[in-house]
Formats: sequence, C-alpha cells, structure tokens
Amino acid sequence: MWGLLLLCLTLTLYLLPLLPALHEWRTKRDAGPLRILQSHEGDVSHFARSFRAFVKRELEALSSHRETIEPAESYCIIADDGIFRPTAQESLSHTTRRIVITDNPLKVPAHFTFAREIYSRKTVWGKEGNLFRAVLAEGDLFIGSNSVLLRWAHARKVHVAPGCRILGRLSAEGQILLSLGCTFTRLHAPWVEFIPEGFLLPDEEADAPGPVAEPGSMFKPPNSSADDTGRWVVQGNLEFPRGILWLGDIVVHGNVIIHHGAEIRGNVKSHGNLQVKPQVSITGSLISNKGIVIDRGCSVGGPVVADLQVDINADTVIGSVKQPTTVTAPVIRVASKVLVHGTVSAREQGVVLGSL
Amino acid sequence: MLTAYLFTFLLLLIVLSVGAYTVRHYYFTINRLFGVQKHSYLDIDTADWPTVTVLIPAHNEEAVIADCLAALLNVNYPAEKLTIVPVNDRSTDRTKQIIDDFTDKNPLMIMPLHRFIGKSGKAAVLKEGTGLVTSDIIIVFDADYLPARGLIKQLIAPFFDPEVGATMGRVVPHNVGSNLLTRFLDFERSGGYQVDQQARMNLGMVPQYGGTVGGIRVSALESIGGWRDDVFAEDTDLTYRLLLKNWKTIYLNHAECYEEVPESWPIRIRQIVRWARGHNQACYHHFWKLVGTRGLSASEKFDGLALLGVYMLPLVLILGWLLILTLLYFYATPLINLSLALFSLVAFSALGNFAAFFEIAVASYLDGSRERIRLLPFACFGFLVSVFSISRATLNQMIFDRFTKSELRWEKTVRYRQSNTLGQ
Repeated sequence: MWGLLLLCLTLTLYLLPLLPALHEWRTKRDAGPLRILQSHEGDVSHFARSFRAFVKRELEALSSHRETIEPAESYCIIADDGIFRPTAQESLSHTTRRIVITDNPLKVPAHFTFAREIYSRKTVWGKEGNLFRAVLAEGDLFIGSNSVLLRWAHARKVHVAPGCRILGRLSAEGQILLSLGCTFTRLHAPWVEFIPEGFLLPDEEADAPGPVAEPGSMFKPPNSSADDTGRWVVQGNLEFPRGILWLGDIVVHGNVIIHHGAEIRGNVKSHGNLQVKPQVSITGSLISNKGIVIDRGCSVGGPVVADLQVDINADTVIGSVKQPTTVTAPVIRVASKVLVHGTVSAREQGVVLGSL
Repeated sequence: MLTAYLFTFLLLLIVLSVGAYTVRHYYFTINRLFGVQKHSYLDIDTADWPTVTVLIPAHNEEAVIADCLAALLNVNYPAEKLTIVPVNDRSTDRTKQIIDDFTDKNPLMIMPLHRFIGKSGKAAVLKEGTGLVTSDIIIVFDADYLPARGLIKQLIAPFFDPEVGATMGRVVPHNVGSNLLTRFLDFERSGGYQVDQQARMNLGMVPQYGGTVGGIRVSALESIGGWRDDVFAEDTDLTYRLLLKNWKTIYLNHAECYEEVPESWPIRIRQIVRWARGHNQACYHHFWKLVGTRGLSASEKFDGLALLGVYMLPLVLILGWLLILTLLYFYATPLINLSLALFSLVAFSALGNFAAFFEIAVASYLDGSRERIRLLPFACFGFLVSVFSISRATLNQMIFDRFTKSELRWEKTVRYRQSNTLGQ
C-alpha cells in the first residue's frame, strides 16, 4: 500500500512539470505553421500600391454613401484650389490626424505635422519643417528643408530639400533628388541623384600615385591561383596597379585597393576593406566583409554590398538606366553629385555629405 | 586496473567531444540572441539578374506538383530569365499529365524532362536535369514546396558575390499540428535553421546546403565535378566539395518556404537514418581533405569538421553511457570518480539542461512562437529515438556496409497534402 502511494507520489512529482506540455499537446493552442507571406516580394513601393488601392475603394464608398473602412470624419478632402486648410484645433497643435486626399496639386503649410497619410493625384508641395507619416503623389513630391518622413513616400519624381530625415522608404517612378545633409534609409528609383550644394573639397590622398601597370605585361596577383571557372582567389591583400585592365572575377582574403583608372570587367570580393581610387570602372559587383570606399569619378555596374559601411564620392555612377542595381550596407555615406540607378538601402543610416 | 584507466581515458575523450558540441550549441544560441546578425544580401532587390533554371525532381507527385508549378509561375523573377524544369522520374500516376498541361499553357517558361530509363535517385535526376541547363544558376525545389513571390530573387541575390557557390533558404514545416511527431520536427527545423544555420552565417562558419530551397552556381558545380549520384546525401556532399574549392554556401533565413515533415515514426526513422548514412559518408570522404585545405579560416575548419562528425555523436554518447555504467559498477578510484562526475555533467549539459533544447527554445522565441515552447520537455523522446536510430545506422555503416554493397535507392517521401489545399 505504502509502496504504491510512494510510486504514485513519485509519478505525480515527475509529471507535474510536464503539465504545461500535456496541456499544449492536447489543446494545440500554438500548432499552426510559422506564417510565410506568400505574396511577399520585398517591393519598395508595396505600401504605395496598397494605399492607392485603399484610397480608391474608400473614395468610391464615400461618393456612393456606402460604409467606409475609416470613419468619414477621418478624411480631409481638399477643394479645387489644393490648399490644405487646418481646423482651428489643428492650427493650434500644428497637427492633423486626418487622411488628406485631393485631386489637385496640394500645398501644405510649413512646420505642420501630418499624422496620417496624404494622397494627391497631382503634385504635393511640402514646406520647411513638415513631418509626414506617408505621402503618395501621382505627380511630383517636393519635401521642404528640415522635414521628416516617417514611413514611406512615393511619387513620379521626388525632390528632397537639404537637412531632411527620410526615416522610411522613399521611391519614385522616375527620379529622386536628395540634397546635402539629408539622411535616409531606403531609396528606390531609376535615377537617384544626390544633388550638389556647397563646395567639394579636393581629396589629396585620392590623387597619390599608386603602382603603375607595366605596359604589355600580364598582371598576376601575388599569392593567388585561378580555379576552373577563371575566378582568381588571392590569399592576403591585393593592389590593382593604375590603369590596369582585369578580366574575370576575383576573391581576395585581405584588403583590396584598386588604383586610379583601372578597369575591372568582372566582380570583386574582399574579406577586408575595399578601396576604389578615382576614375576606376568596374562592370560587375563590389562586395566586402568590411567597408567599401569608392572615390571620385568611378563607375560600378553591379551591386555594391558591404557588411559595415559604403562611402561613395562625387561624380560616381552606380548601375545604369538599362541595368539598375543596389547599394546596400548598414551605413552609407554619399557625396553630392553621385548618381545611383536603382536602390540605395542603408539598414542603419544613410547620409548625404558635401564631400567625404 | 589497466583496463579501468583505459576506460577512463576513453571516457575523458568522450567528455571532451560531447563537451565541445555542447559549447558549440551554446555559442550558436548566444550568438543568435546577442551577436551581430549577418544579412548582407537581404536588400539586393534591384539588379541585372542572372539566368536561372528551377529543377523540380518529381516521382509520383500528382498531389502536389500543380501547386508547386503554379507558385513558380507567380514569382516576381524576370520571366525571360527564368526556366522551370520539372523532372518527372518514371511516375506512374498523373504527374506527367499535370506537367504537360502546365507546359502547354506556359511553353516559354516550362521545359519538362520525362525520364523513363537510367539510374533512380534524386542525385541522378538532378544530374540529368543539369545536363540540359544553360543558365548561370540552378535552384532545386522539392515537388511539394510552395515558393513565395519573392523567393527566387532572395535565393539568387548572393550570387553577385563571386565567392558564393550555393545558397540555402529556410524550410518551414506546414503540417505542424498533425501530431506530436510533427511538432517535434517543427522544433527541430526551427532550431536547425533559425539558430544553427544563421549563427554559422553570422560567425563566418559553414552553413549547409540542404538540397532544396537553394541555389547553385552552375560554373561552381561544374568545377567540382557536378552532382554525385553515388552518395546518400548529395546536399552535404556538395556543401563540402564546394567548400574545399573555396566556394561559400550562404544561408538566407528570410528566404522561407513551406515543406511537409513526416507524420509517422517509421518514415521519420528512415529519413534520419538516410541523413546519418549520408553525413557519415561525407565525413569519410572529406574529413582529412578539409583538415589539409588551404585558404579556409580556422572557424570554417572547426565548424566544418564538427558538422561532419555530428551524426557520430549519438554513438559516442551511448558508448559514454555504457562506459560510465561499467566504471561505476566494476571500478572505483578517485580519478574514475572524477571522470564519472565530469561525464555526468557533460551528459546533463548535452541532453538534460539542454544545450540543444536551449537552442530550440531560443529559436521558438525568435520565431515569435509562444505557447508551443511548453511542449519542449517532450522533445526528449524524439531526441532519444534519434540517438538510437542514428547510432544503429552508424554502426551498420561502419561494420556491415563493408560487406554488403547495397545500391542506393530513392526513398520516396510520403505526401500528406491533397492537391490545392494551400492557397497562394
């Protein structure tokens, strides 16, 4: 009898910590598969498309007096003159919590906060010190100086004045012009230009002479070997001499310096830092496990990817209209007069500087 | 007494090996919690994309192949750069007809291959399918997989890096709630991908190509001699052959795709036995080559060797248990007692406290799952089944396979899903 009781007690003590497990096994409260968004495609203008469809549905419902998803008082439909007129309370707080919609060019007052989305079938003219949550303009979008964009904006063409903080995604059908002192995270357009302001300081170090390729000689990287695919693998650091033409892919286990005027027809990967001196042309990608510095007047055809930081100096072109590409790193610093065709994605922060 | 010291020495070696794997589990898990996460290629969404062929080996897949093809036709990869090659390997059901119907409707994108002769097995199918490929990259999907719209671009983006030979996405069990086994397997997959693979990626180690939901650079594949159809696990074998030629495998935690996991224990045991045999075979082929290869970092070598030996560990653990019992009951000296205490501690850390279970718990946490973690204590049972199945397979392989040269067969995976049960 006592033995049986001891056994039962022991079993109970053993099973006690398993009770939550037994409960979850029987009730299956969390037995669904991990959610994967089958429609997810990482498109930068995804929010703009969704919002456009949302506005269309809501406007149709409003005009036919059907029930809208948002209450009708959440909307601010702007009249023909396209001027946003805040209510007395909004004027006092310099903030509107309504969704602003207009068929016409929209002008917004300076130092005003738009806590909800803005939609215009034409151009949106921002002024100094605005704070936008999200903007969709079927025409152009002008973001005034020292303004902030919190979530996303999409337009045909976007002009961003100096000193703005673009915290969300910014995309355009045609062109994005980003001025000096702006910070950004993700930009996407066929033409992303960092426009000039102020003076570009000459970079003396960039013009320092590097080794020169001997005319007619074949350049063979030291401590290297080529594999069956024609790809070179280099143990240690590598310097490409000035003016060299290199054909093929190369993987370097150390730092890489590509000197002035070199032409690389292929992809370059560095386990260390990758430095590209002025007037270098690379048809493929630049990948680094650390940082990449691209100096003045270079061109890169493929993606530029670094695990730490990418610096791009003035007059450099990344990608082309026919072959847009991506620049991505946690931190991206871009000088004015840089042109990127495609996407610029700074996971932590991007900034536009006068010169690097 | 000499025997006792010999046993003790052996036990200490086992303590060292099991201890090393325990530390490795903790290291990976802590890295996932607090380390810098490496997602270098995540944001490449605009590029001049290379040409891609998607190979889908299919043997009697009438229940699932249509969903897979429909999902692939819906991806956002440039259509002119994408070719889908379903490889029908002697199916006796409606697989051929379904593939041909899709081909009639999409003749420019789908180029089917129907096999009626030749060697069986997934590697043989891939070998023949690859012979038709003219693209830069191959992606392999199992027939029951349902790629999301952006998955192909995600899997291809790392190939702009000239060092990358293969990429691997994350497979997510779809039939989690079917029974206790599927829930264990959900844990296992979660720990394996969310923690193990991503930590290896973060630490510059050796993420593993898993044979499906992954891409391979064709030139890299050719440079290592193509697919091998004489190995049990062509995916593990490929990972190491690429590594030995300085090609990296990249794991992409965000490139997720649903799969079905076994719902019955016999199928599960067959699966794990095949993995064990394949892994051990890769260990036999590549262990010393990996030790002697130049150009790999110390962490790559260490992790690569540890990964090769991972299916030996259950046998080592059982040997440790047997030794400890022998020493406990037949010998007793202070040194032996110390080694017993050490083994107990390490065995507890490996099984009881749970380096592996800690990893699973953290994976669930990272996945945002909350309630399912309560099932974790039950995972011990699944762990024990694996330990004994793998040990048996390893013993068989070490002793009996030398005498009986059994031919490789394609173990057809049982499908539980009915056609069109998963919407896009």
